Amino acid sequence: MTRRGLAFAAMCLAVAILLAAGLDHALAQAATPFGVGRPDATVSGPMGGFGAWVMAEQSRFYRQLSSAIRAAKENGTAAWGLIGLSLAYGVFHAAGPGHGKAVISGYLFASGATLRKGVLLAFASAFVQALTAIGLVAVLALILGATASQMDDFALVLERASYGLIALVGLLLVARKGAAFWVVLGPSLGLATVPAHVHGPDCGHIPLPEPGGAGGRGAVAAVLAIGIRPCTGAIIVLVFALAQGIFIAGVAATFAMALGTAVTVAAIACVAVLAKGLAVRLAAPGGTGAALALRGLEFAAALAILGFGLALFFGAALPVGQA
Amino acid sequence: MRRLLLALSCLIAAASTAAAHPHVFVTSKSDIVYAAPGLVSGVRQTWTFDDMFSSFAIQGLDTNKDGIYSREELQPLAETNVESLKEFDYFTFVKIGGKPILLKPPTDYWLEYKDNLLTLHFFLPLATPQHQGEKPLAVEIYDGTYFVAFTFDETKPAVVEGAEGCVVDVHKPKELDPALAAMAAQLGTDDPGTLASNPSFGASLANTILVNCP
Repeated sequence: MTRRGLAFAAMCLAVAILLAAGLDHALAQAATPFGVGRPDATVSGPMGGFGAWVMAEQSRFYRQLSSAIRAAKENGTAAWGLIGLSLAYGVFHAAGPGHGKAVISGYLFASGATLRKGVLLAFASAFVQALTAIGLVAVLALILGATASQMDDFALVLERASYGLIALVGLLLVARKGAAFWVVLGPSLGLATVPAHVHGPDCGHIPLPEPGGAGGRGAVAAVLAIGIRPCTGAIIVLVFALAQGIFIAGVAATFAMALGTAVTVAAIACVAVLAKGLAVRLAAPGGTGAALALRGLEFAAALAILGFGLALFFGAALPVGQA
Repeated sequence: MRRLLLALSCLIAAASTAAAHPHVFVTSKSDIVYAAPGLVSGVRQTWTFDDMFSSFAIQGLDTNKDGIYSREELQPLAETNVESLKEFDYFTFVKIGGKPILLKPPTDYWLEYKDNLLTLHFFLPLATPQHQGEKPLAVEIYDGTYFVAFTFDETKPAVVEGAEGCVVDVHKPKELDPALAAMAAQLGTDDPGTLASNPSFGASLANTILVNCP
């Protein structure tokens, strides 16, 4: 039973890894048809009715945003409608493609954080993402009067920084989880290991950063990695609101979108935390085999984040049309 | 327990599903241009963008700060537009009697900003003018990646220029089947022609203009 449970957990992780690996073509350094406005990165996966429904819904909400912004200009109470709409858009948008969810759930699975931390990460990254979009439009469009393609260029830089950070977070996790995995794997292969030296966190000899540490630098890096990549929808909404002379409505809408996004991502984060809890429980009574499987899963999740970050980073580095 | 894990793997799969939605909405008008009766020379497109994308695209382009976005001020953007569209085959697929016809890069392109909406005008010449004969001419307009959503103009989706007595039919895409749209989004941008080769996609996503001339 325990073995089977672990096998299933391994399977679901394998699914996640495959999805991350399937990124390459959809990767969305997608060229931009009109040369301005960047498509959001899309994670390609099995397409089901659920994904299609999510897309149809977010598209519907997105279309209504412009009239909601204009209505908010006419009268203040309409602003509530705009906020509700943005919230709904955020919920559905986050259920669609996105690097945030993949990184957060992989991170939480590998590092094994609490539910509270999972939710906190989801909200923090969504909030940072809103701030990035608002900051970008406020500085570039409002103050500097930049053009759309200049904003795109800057967004692209942020995007690449975000992907690089994701790879870095993955690398830290791989180092840490790889060490933990080796501690179990080494002896079982009949290889002598020196646990005291490999146990990164417990050992002064290998001062590995601690991505899994409660509130550690790893968590901050993960939040930044996700948050510094602004979303295209938010930028367009902000510029539109600015053009209508009610930038503040765009700011409100962006925060509402972030809140909606956070709700969805938090739900997914909870699943990751629970999955980890389950895997730990299943492994608890077992011997070396169970420990091996658990450490192996953690290591695989860490590798998935690293792979995801690298694929995105190098995907974004390719010239338009080559991805 | 097992069921829980199974549910979980499904959830993860569902959560990672691709579902990018359109960020640009275009209302399309087309002039099918004949150099002489029976001789098709190209398609003149008039594409009006939605208000949000319009505001975004023109941001910062009122260089003389007179509050008017003139054709001259917008020309660099028009340039960028048509250059970028090349990779997408201008979202315009011409067929005569079902046979795809090659197009040349646009000529005569410019942008116009009116009533808060930006409109891109461009003429797409056929690589060589084609004798249509008895065969139907089809012009399909769509974005296989579904980043751009095209809709025909309500009043004047398509007209014929330079030929008499031609019958123009327009076929709107069916109310977009979300499953198809999602599959379209998944096809990726590297192969915008994929839809054309898939009849079920073509029929559902494409805005099609059919012209039959005497």
